[in-house]
Amino acid sequence: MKDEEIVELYWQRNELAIEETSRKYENYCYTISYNILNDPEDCKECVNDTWLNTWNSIPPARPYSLKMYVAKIVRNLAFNRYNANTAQKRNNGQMPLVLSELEEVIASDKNVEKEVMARELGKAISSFIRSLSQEDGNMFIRRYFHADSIREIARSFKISENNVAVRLARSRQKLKTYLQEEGYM
Amino acid sequence: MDKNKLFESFNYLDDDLLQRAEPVKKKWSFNFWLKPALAFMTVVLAVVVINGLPRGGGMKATEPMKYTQGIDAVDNVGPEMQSDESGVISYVNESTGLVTYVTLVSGEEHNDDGYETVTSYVVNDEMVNQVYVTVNDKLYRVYNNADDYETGIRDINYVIENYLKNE
Repeated sequence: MKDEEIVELYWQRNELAIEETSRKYENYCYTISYNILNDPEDCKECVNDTWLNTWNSIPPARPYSLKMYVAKIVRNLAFNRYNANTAQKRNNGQMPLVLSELEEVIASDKNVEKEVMARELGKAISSFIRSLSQEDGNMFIRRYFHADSIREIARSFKISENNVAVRLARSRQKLKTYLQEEGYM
Repeated sequence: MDKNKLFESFNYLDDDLLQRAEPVKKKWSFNFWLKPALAFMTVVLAVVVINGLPRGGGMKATEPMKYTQGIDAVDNVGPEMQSDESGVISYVNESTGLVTYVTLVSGEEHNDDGYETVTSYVVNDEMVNQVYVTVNDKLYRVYNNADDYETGIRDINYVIENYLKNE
């Protein structure tokens, strides 16, 4: 079933929408949550909560891409759970590395004038990613949206892990410069 | 801003960017599978051909007993046996027309096995399918379905050596 047909089911409050969404995107959502949480039980709960959140948010939302819509929901849920857990001790996944890498982007300078709303920041980062090469941009998203491992990214792009690490480091540096120039930091 | 908020902000990336970054699933490609499939079929074909080839290039070595149909102890050879002066007995099988020549000799060849009488034999050189053998004064008909002289002799010898000696 196409995404627009499934979204229509949500609008019609037809519970078949949840079934169809689960059938189509369960594995995808599980993968995203597992990259963050690295715990099967937590991941299952996040995925199930994703369907509930989706049901509760459509309508009024009418996402163009249901896949990206549920991806963002599960990612958010997984990250919230990650923060709520005593995950620093239990989690052996990618999150500690991912967050520590992003910390490079954050100015250690505490003279941050204002905090940007996450949405506006997201838009800014979108603009930044469009300024990168398509491959670098995709790699950046795979790492910091999906929390894919360096190894998995290297395999996917058919390059060495070192190459991935170097290119991500350069992109992070560029993002830092970009956010500073745009006044977000 | 902290790293958590930065991470959260990725949730608001444009959908088209997120879709663009999705890994592309490999579609089944005929060309991708063609070479491995051809290699596999070649191996299978080679195995079939090799197994189908005749081995040895000739007659298979078989146990003589395969050709030998049996041994009859006969008290009476039936048709009259004639002995010529050299001690050769000829026997004519009236139904088949096979003439069997059996040379009876007293022999020492099997004395170590306890035979008192040894029979050596000369058979028709066209076909050997039976021969009468006397061992310990007892006459036996050894028959087989060999279709060549050498095999017939070999088979009969085998029977005599391995079976009749125990009689």
